[in-house]
Amino acid sequence: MPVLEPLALIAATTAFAVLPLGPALLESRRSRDAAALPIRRDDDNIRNFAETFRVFSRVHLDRAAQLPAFTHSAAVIAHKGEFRAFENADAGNVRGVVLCRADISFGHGVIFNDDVYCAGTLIGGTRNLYRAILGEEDICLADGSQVLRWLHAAGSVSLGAGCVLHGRASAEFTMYLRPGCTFRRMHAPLIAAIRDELERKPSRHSQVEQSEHVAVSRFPSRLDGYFYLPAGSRHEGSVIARGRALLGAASCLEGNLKSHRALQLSEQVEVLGSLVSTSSIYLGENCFVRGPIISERSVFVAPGAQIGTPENLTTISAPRITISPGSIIHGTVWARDAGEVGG
Amino acid sequence: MLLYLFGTVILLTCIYTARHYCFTFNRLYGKQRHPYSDIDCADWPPVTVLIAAHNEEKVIADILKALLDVDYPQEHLTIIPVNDRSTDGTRDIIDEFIHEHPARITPFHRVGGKPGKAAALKDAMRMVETEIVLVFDADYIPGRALIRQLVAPFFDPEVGSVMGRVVPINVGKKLLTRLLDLERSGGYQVDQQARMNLGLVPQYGGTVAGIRTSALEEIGGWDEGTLAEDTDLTYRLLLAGWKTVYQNRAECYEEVPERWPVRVRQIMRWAKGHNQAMVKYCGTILKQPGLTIRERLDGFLLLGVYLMGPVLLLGWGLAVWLFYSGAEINSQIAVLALAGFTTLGNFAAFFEIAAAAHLDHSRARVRLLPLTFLGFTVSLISVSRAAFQQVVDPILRKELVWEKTERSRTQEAVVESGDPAVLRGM
Repeated sequence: MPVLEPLALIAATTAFAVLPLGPALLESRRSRDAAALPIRRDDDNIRNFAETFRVFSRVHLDRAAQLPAFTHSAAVIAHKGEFRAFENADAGNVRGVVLCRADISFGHGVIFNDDVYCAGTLIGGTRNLYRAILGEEDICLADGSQVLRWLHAAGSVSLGAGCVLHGRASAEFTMYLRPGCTFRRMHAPLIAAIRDELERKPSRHSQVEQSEHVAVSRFPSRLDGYFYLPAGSRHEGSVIARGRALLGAASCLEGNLKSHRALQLSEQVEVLGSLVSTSSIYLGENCFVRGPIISERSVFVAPGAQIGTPENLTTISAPRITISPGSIIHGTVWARDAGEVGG
Repeated sequence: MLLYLFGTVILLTCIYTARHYCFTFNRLYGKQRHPYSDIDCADWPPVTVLIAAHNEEKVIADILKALLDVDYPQEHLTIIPVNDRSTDGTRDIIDEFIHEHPARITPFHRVGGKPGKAAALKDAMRMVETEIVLVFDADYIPGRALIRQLVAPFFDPEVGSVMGRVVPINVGKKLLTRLLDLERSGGYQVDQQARMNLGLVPQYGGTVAGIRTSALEEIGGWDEGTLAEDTDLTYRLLLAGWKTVYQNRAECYEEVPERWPVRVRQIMRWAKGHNQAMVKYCGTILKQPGLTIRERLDGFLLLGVYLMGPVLLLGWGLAVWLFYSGAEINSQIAVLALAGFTTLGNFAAFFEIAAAAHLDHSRARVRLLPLTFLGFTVSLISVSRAAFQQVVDPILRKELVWEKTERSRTQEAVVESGDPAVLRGM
């Protein structure tokens, strides 16, 4: 009676059955990847990068100030643990973190390969390329500048025409953007799209007007089709429309509005709640929306529109966002795919 | 007759297999929907956080500490630990926190009444004055931004409830916890998010979750007669026209069972509660006006997930019986279908877990995938046992009993910051 063949068969079968379990059994014994999955523990604050970089910059500026060679230098470059003076002669391609002790102006066409810190006001030349910028006062970027990662100003930010913000941008006071600017995530108490300096104007909606609490029904009206609010009329309560939603000129909605199709506000419409659409949202001229605006496609903000108030910051979120010169937003604008200031 | 029954089992299995693949491919290659996760500033509404706690002395302090540290306007956040008839030190721990933070924590000590989470929450709702209520089990540890992430979807007037993602914290303790970690990944990272992407029926999970009180009022409040108040609520909200939203980025740590008997009791309770909901809503969901076809279909299939356990066991039994009884299955198509299904179908759920591990950037843990068959088998038997008991118990006049999941934590849970998170002190 053959012995070898059955044994070989049993061994081969066992091997086929056990081999696929090998990596599993090894991992089970060694536990090389047995830590809890990391979850988001931070507060997702847009300033987080800036806060970390501020600590780094101040430590290095203090260190540089103690070196005799840099006692009087307005700006230094920290690169691979060493310092050297920053001069605009470096224009072209700057390697190392630029640390500015006071106000500074950069030349044109400069590429900053590493982050820039400025303890005063920073004025950039045209077509400069920055990795990241932190300004303790104002930041003014000239036409065609680009910021690859983030930008934060403890004062205000002013962007020339055609500037490109690839990552996060924030300011403690105001952000001014000119036509052709593109952005992803921005936050400031006031974000204004302007054509020129003269256009800068305060919010129309005052604190008194907006602090009123609106007592409306807690149950939304549900419509199977189209929602139309006639011009000049007022509606109290939230509305959910399966079809399109159109709010006529100078109408007012005291509540939230959700539409499963396109949502359009004519000129001078006021919405005291939020706007949500699974499609696109169009805000007409001189509209006012107090709450968040959420679209799963696009948001267009026409000239003169105001989103949020200085007292109640809010958010616009959509894959594509276009804001027109003359419009202002209090809070966050977050374009997942692309955001731009229209012409 | 048995052949037809076997055919029905195969058909049902194929439907659920297709569902698994559909979800997994959508999650890997489809358009992802996170419409509310970018709302980072707004006029945040007042919120009440209810913490369901029944004999939770091992864990209650951790969640209270975490909630006191969240990034949400303090004046708009009310924390109510719902101490449900605890007989251990839960009450003392809560009272200690109230002594230290009198303005921020409002206790609700429940000393009598019907047992069960739904009954406790129902009683606690009398203390709630806000439009938004968030619910956590006591073994959860919310991160700083979690409250805002769970509240953000309520700016959409159609949203009745919100569900966040549950992430096991005690992964490295045992093989069971590691398998449950993979299972949870598949369930949330793929299953729930795919349903969100496809406009289907994401499930309100009863913890790391939020609900609009006006929606709750409209559907008649918590149903204390159910073992799975979460599934029950998902369907009542859906039938009343409210949406449930899943926020994949609203992640929260939980403690998963570390002992098999605890796991078995947990999944049996889930199965019984889910089956209760199936009996109540499977007819209504197909007829209810106002729902999309997708919502009807997904809602119906979701109701049947725990029934698939006994169905699969029946299929295995039938397959063996038919094979040995010499039943004639001559069709080549049947053979091909069987071969095809064996190659792809049986692994649909495991494919989902593997995809989740990939999306979570897990490295070596995906190697445990073959061992998840062990967890799958235990679940299959437990779920079938639960279904059997549900049929038999009414005949024997036994009541459905709510059983709390036993906790294993012995020290304060600390997750070190950094990547990957390392658990210590558990």
